[in-house]
Order: sequence, then structure tokens, then C-alpha cells
Amino acid sequence: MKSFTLIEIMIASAIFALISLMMGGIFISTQEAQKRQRDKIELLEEANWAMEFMCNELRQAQLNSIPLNWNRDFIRFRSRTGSIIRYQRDPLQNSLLCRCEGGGGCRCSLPASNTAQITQYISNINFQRPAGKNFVIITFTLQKGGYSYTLQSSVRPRN
Amino acid sequence: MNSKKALSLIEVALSLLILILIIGGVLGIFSYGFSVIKNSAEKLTALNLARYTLEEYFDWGKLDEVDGSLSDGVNNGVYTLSSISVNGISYNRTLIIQDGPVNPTELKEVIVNISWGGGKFINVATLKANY
Repeated sequence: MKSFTLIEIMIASAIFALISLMMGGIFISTQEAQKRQRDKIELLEEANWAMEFMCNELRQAQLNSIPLNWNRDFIRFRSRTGSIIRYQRDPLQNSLLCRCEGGGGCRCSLPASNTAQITQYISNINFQRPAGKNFVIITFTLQKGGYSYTLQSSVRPRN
Repeated sequence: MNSKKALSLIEVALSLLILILIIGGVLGIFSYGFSVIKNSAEKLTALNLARYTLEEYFDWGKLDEVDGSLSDGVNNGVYTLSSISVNGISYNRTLIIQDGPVNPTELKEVIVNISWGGGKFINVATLKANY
């Protein structure tokens, strides 16, 4: 039985190491790609949900409760039933977008019965009611894991 | 015949080719996944811009003045609106007004067409009545 020479073992080890490195690299890159895809899908779902939520509630708002030329990073309006609703970023945790009902602070990072979190990935938001228009333009950007996504829509308060 | 015969070059080449094809397939699935997500993101943006446009032209009066003249009734036609740029992509908006299924002067079908890069588009249609 002829044994392997040192050269043969070294070459075999080198090839094995190369293949292992290559497979490891592919494994890591597919893992990262999968995570990026998950982040993007989550961000799209979150953006869709946040926009639907705000549009549905603003659609039932009282139009006159939103001043003309409104162009701010938060909005305050009267709901159909007359209660005051605010959408604004949490002053303590800037990536949270909160919905607050009634007076007082608007911090959804703290447990409170009158506040709720709309999304946790907000990086920019703007509410605008253009002069002479009866609709509100909502524009926001969500950010997660190096990926950002902007969504813009408009809604006409019906009440 | 020697049962411990080494692998021939053809066999090694073939097995490497199969390995590369499998790895390529796996990576291809990921690249397809990215393109699907990109398309979904663009469609979601387009759908929201279609809603934007429909809310903007919610009133019969707004539809009346889209052709530049107010109080002459809502006229059928294809009207190009200002484009909106979101996420670095320019979305073109077109408003198409045509007769509704009945009572055509008072009932119109309004179609919003949003188109963007590479011939992609969506159409959202609704009916608007003046009664």
C-alpha cells in the first residue's frame, strides 16, 4: 500500500481549504441576502400598514379641523366623533410614530392608554394640506437595516 | 479491470459543473427574490400615487376643470398630470375620463394610469357621478 506524499496531502488540504472558504462565503452571503430581503419585505408591509391606517382615519376626520397651508412633521385633527387625534414622532424615541388621542404628551414609548404605536421605523414624515385644497398629502420614509423606503399618498377628510 | 481507478478529467469537470449549476441556481433564486421585492415596492408606491390622484380629483368640480375650463361639464379625454418622484423613480400620472355605463353626461368612468421606468404601469378605475 503506497502512502500519500507530503505534496499530495498539502495540495489536497489546500483544495479542501479553498472549497470550504468558497462554500462558507456563499453561505454567509446567502444568509445576508436573506436577511436583507426579510428587512425589505417587513419595511414594505409596515409602510403599507402605516399608510392604510392613517388614510383610513384621516378620511373620516373633520376637514375644517386641519388648517390650510399645514406643512409639518406632525398632524392634529378632529375625528368624526370630535376627539382630537395626533400623529407625531415620539420625542424620546425618534424612530417611533405615535397616534395619540386627547391632550397630554404623545409618547408611545411609554405605556399609556391614549397612545399607540403606528410604526417603529420612521426616519422622516410630513403632513401637508396645500392652500385651497381639501386633501392632506402624507409622505413618510421608513428605514431598517440600511434600506429606506418612501411612500406618498393623499387623503380627503370626508366630514 | 482496476476497481480503484481514479476519476477522469471529464468526471471531475462534470461534477464541478453540476456544483456550479446548483450554486448558481441558489444565487439565482435570491436575485429573483430581490427583483420581486423591488417590483412590489414600486407597485405599492404606484398604487398609493393612484389613490393620491383619485383623492385629488374627488370632486365633480375638479374633474370639470381638469381640461382647463370650469363649468363646461366633465369632458372625456386623456389628461397628463404632473409626475411625482418617489424613491428616485419618476412616476407619470395620466387621468383618463370616459363615459360611464349609463347616463354618460352625469356618470363618468375615471381611470388613473401610473407609469414608470421600463414600461411598467398600473390602472385604477372608479365611477364618478354628478347626482
